[in-house]
Amino acid sequence: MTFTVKMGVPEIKSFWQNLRLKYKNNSLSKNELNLFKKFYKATHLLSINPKHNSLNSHEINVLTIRFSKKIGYKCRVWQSYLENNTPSAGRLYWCYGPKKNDITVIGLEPHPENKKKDGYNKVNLSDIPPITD
Amino acid sequence: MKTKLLKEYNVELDKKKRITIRGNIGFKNYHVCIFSDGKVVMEPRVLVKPFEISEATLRMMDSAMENFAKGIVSEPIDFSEFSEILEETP
Repeated sequence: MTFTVKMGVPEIKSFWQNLRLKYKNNSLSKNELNLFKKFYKATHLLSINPKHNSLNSHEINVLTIRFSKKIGYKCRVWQSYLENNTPSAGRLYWCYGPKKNDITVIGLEPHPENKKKDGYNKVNLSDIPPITD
Repeated sequence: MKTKLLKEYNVELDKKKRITIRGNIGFKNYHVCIFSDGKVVMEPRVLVKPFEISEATLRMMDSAMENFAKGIVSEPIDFSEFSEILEETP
C-alpha cells in the first residue's frame, strides 16, 4: 500500500515550499540542500513504507495523548529519522490522515529556526500545561 | 519467559523495620507493591530520559494539528518532481 504524503499547515508547508523553490532556483545553501535531500528521501520512503527500517518509525505516546485530546479522536503521532546511524539526526513527526491512505507531516526537529534566539529551548511534555479547549 | 529461582531465604525486619536483599540482584531501581496479606512484590524498573522537544517544534505541531482536525493540509507531495534526488546513492 502506498500513501499520499501531505504537509501540515502552515509552517511545514511553507518550509517545504521555500526549500522546493530554492532548489528549483539553485539557491539553496549547502546545509539547506542536505536537509532538502534528506527530507525528500525520508518523505518518499514514508509514502512507500512508513515502517521502513531506515526510518526507525516509532510512536511518541505523549504526543499521541496530547493531540488526540486536541482533535477529539485517537490520532497516533509517529517519529521517523531523516538519516540512519546519526545520533543528532533530524526527526520528522507525522500522523496518518486526514483522509484514508494519507500521511501528514506535522513537525520537524530540529526546528528550521532553531538558530534563532530561544530556538534551542526544550520542553519536557510532562511539564507543559494540558491543552485547553 | 520462564524465570529461574536463583536464591531462596528467610528474612526478618531489622530494628528500623527494613529488609535487606542479599547480593547483586541485577537492577538498581525497583517498583515495590505491598499487599494486604503481607506479600511484597518487587519489579525491576529502568529509568529513561523523558521525551523532550523544542518549543518551536511543539508550536509548529500544535498549529498543524489544529488545521489537521479541520482537514486542512497541503497538496500531496509530487515525488516525480525531483526524481534525480531519489536516484542518488547516499
